[in-house]
Amino acid sequence: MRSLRILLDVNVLVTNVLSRAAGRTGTVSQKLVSAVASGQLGETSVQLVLSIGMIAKFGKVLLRHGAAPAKVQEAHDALVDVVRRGPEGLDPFLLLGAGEAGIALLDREDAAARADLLVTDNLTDFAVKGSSAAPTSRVRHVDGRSRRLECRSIKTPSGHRVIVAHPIDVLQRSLRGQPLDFRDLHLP
Amino acid sequence: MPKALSATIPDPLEARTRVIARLENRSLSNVVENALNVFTSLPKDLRDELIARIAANGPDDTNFQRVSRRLLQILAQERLDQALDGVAGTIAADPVPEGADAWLLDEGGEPTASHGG
Repeated sequence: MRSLRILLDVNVLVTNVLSRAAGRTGTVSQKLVSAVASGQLGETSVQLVLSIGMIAKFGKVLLRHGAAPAKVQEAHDALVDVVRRGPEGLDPFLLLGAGEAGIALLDREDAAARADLLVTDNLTDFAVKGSSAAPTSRVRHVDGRSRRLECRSIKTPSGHRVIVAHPIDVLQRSLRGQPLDFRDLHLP
Repeated sequence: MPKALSATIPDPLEARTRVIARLENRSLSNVVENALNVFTSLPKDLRDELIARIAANGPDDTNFQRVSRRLLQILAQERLDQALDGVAGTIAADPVPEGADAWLLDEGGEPTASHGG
């Protein structure tokens, strides 16, 4: 049986590192990245999907935060390794597109076309025409603001449907044993 | 001081060892040294289990390969964990949480679909 392919957006990876830098442990991003890297999220076998462009962007953001270049390279290499060692053994560097003459580097949208679930804190990026959404959890910011999260079904340019969801919702579902593809919300 | 060892091994094992040495551009001696290094570092129970599996079904046993892939995945996960800690150690700490880690679950939602666009 194929694993659920999960694309972790760069903001989730960066948040993970910033929380580590601040000495926080057991945060949402830390639990999520750790579980996805292990290949198992709750009861579901999962494969991390990342494009090399996303991993490069992750490194650039860390450098802007003042990270040591050698350590950024180690994190870059370790991420590539996790993608390759996952249950599906994907390669973040290269993917041959159907009908393409050459080998294409993947950006986030291309990577999403290979994913079942895209996990991001920036849900508004994906509130695009033709997408469908369902409200999920209510969350509260540390500064007191609150907002309603949603999950969204979007269609990539290649026609592939991918579910976009917030890290908190994905983690909660894994803990509650709910479907990580959100099929119980009956999005198209 | 390096020592020379002599051992008698079956033909298929000798052939496999030579193939690995050739494919990985290493000397036969280096492959044997690595193999002994890894084997003697494993706990006895694990050594016994691996030997029994290979004896029963050979090195191409699907369960053996599945376990090998799982081990590679665990090692990759640990390497990532260490690498993220390593890079975090070079960044100035910000006491205010960011991104997804700045939000806490408040209450459950009622799942009702709506359509965008």
